[in-house]
Amino acid sequence: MDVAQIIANGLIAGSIYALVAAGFSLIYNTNRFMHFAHGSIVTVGAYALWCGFTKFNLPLFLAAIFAVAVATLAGLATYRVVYRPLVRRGASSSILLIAGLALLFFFENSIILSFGSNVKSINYFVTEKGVNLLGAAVTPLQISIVLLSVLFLILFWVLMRYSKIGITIRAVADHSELARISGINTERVQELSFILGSALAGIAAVFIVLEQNATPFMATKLVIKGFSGAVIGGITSLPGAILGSYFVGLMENFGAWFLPSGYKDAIVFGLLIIFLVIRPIGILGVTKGVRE
Amino acid sequence: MNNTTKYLIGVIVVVVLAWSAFTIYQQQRVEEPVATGPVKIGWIGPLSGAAASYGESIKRGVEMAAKEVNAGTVELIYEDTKCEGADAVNAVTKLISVDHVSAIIGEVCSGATLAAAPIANQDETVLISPASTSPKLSEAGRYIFRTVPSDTLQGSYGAELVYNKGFRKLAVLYSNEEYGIGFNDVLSAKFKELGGEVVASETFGRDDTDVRTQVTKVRDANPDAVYLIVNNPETAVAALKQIKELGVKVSLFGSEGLKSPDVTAAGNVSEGLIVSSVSSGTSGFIDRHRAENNGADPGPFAAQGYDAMRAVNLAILGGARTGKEIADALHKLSFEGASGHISFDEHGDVAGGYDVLVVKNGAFVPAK
Repeated sequence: MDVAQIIANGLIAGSIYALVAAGFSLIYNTNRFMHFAHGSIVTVGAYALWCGFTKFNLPLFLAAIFAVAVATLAGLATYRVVYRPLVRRGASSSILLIAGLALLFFFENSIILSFGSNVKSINYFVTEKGVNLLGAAVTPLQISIVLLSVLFLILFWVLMRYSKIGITIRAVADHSELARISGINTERVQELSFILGSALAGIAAVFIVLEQNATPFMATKLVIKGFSGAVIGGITSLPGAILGSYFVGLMENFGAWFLPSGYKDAIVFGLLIIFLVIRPIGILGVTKGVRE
Repeated sequence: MNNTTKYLIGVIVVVVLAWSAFTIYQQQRVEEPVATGPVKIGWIGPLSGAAASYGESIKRGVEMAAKEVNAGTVELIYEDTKCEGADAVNAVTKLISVDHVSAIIGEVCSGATLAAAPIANQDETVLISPASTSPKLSEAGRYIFRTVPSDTLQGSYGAELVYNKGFRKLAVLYSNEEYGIGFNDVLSAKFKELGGEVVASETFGRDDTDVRTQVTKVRDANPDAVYLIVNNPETAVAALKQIKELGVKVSLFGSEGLKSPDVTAAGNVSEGLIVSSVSSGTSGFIDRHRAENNGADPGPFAAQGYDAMRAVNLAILGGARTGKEIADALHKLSFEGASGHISFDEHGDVAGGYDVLVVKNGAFVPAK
């Protein structure tokens, strides 16, 4: 059996889920609602990369920066235009969840309207047989995706752990009322988490387009897998959300190996249900506040 | 204004509204059997969602045929059903009970067409699909037709194609829904019957873009040919890339769902892919499609969409109006369509032939 190959397949999938889940969990912790449109931010980033690269003829590196910038702006816009006015009017988290779903459909259909529904590929790297790494065939691009994801996630963790911004964000996540009384501008911090989370989504977008392709419907799948990863790992814990995502990536691929492959998604959602019933706070979750 | 006056005004308003509603209702009832105005034809299919590119392509074909009759003879009403069964059921119900259509063209995906079929049968309205190939559709009822041949034909054709090229160990990768399952059943059974061996049979979700583990299983089974069955270009492109990346170096075959510009646009991964496909149209149809659509070649099932609308046109021009009359007229039809000769058998199926295409230098060309 190709253990090495399955592990590689799981890590590649997990890296992308982790980037989505980290932003999702960050936004959840400071704002305390499910930002389901987070997946759409990835889609927006993906189309920005495609536009930058094929329409504006930017070099790939600049197109990637452009994509991350557009994703960040789109995330910020959802907060400023939709969520913040709703929160200020005292909307409950279920209203915000519905608003998030509405945004998901809004982005999806706006993209169909402006770009059509067909698949957009960049084909920057010529697809060829991957190199043999410990018995697994992986392409250099896939190795870079895993390494860069880990690098970005470590940077993100360091930022959250040691920087002043990170400490403020964690203070708000821990107890937003107390943080506000101690003079922290909670709204500013919530906005900041949208900016950071959306930038991570933008990075995920770049990887996904290079590795697979862009379609208007990529968001739903990603948000479901990222969400499952975040919940399994512990949505209140950033390392947990990341760990959970790799766990989901590995489990679905090992599952598909042992069982008929049609069960691939059933395995992920089965795990999600098991965790929700047995350990709702996830692997590394805490009942209150947020772990670094 | 005291309460009694308010109450009186309220009653008057309600009475007036009810009266006008009743009058309008009666007028409509009187108008209905006269059937002036255009004949309404419904269209259901995906205009959003992952299969939207098929829907758009078929819609262009349907519109070309609609233009052939005098303006004002037929009126098309489009409903986007996203290839989803539930949406197809809602749309068919709406088209029949609200719009009073005489016939419906669609759905595209077999699962959605099968879901909508019982309603069309119950309300005696013809449902004619330009793209649903599931073998189950043959038994779906008296009012269900299609202008695309059943997968019982394409599955066998595909099996023979692979076998005749000298391959004996086949691996199948198919999408886990009505279309993929139906196609795979026929393909695998026929390939075994011919004397070949199906060494791996792996499945994936219709929208999945990560099929590495399935491809890894296929690689371990050591096939000498891989047959890919999917009707979502996004998944097809992802699967082709991952087949190449994981180093599966065998001949690739694909169902007609892979005959999409997205597949050739994906670069070197589709080079050499052999696709069996329902006819993409006669050369006359292709020229006309280019002329009417800014030079664009017909997309998947555009010719079948054209033929479905043409069949309905011919039935209506022959004087058929009710569902029963149209169904009877369709059974008697026989004409040269854009996708070949069209005549419906007792199951509402057409015979139809297949083209074999191969990807060469990023384009589909007829295989020798």
